[in-house]
Amino acid sequence: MDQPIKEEFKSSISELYPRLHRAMKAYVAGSSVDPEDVVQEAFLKGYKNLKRFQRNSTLYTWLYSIARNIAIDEFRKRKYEKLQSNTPVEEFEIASNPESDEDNKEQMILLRKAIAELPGLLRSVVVMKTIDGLSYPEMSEITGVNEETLKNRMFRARKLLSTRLKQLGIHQS
Amino acid sequence: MNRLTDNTLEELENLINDAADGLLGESQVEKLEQDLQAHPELLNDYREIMDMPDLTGAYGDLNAYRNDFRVHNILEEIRQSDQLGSFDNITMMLFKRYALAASILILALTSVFYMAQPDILNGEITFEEIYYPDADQTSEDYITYLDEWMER
Repeated sequence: MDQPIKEEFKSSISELYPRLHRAMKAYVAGSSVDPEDVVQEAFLKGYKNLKRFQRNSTLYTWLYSIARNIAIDEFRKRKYEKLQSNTPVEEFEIASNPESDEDNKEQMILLRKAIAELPGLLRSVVVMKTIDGLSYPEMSEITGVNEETLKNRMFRARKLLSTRLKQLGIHQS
Repeated sequence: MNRLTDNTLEELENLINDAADGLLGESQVEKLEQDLQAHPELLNDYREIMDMPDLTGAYGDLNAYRNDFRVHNILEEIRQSDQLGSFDNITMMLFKRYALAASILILALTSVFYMAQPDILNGEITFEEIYYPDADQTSEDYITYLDEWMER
């Protein structure tokens, strides 16, 4: 295997880890899947299959698609869909942060819950676009779905989220 | 006509997405709001979507997701797989390089061993003679014994 790309991969792990971790945490929220296990497996799988990495995509989007596939496999194994609808709010607890006041913290928890309640296809788009800040071309590369369909899903997701957040009493402050 | 309407609605939905992502300028937002007047349902969706809190911060900033221990684990596993991989590669390389030579050597040694058997060259040897040499000796002794007994 090409030695420079292996070295590049190893040196980028510490930089890419937090971003992929956050994205996977949002993606698997409400399930029993451990996002850090998914991320670790994604890096190891990526390293083993580095010869398949093509330079026309970024290392991050390539790793994201590997991690996403690992998470989907885990959902299938655990029959995630059944668990999701019953997820209590406590599952979305966030680590205490002195900078954020209680109202903000509660709002974040409810936002996470509302995102996690979205159907899988829509949740995936929201996580990629709003949580991870990916562009539509990057999302298309990861999912293999065309940009128009992704934009349509994003609109549907926003509609559902706005309704759900309204029910939860959350509005723009 | 319907198709034209669908396309227009799709375009408006995309513009609402862009507005929610903060990609539209002030004049573009005004134009969008004017266009939405003809589509009351979509206008309502637009208002509700724009009223949503910002989702980008729902999972906090990246610093909360750093984990040096995990990164160390990943690098350690990679280092181990590299070592294992290099051992496999060396084994495979040696095997490929020397497999033919080893096969020829084994064949040659087997042939030499086979040809070195003294009875093989005169062509009189049998399978039983190789594997049961004592049995023949016993039968020959028995025949000698019978001959001697008959002569008595």
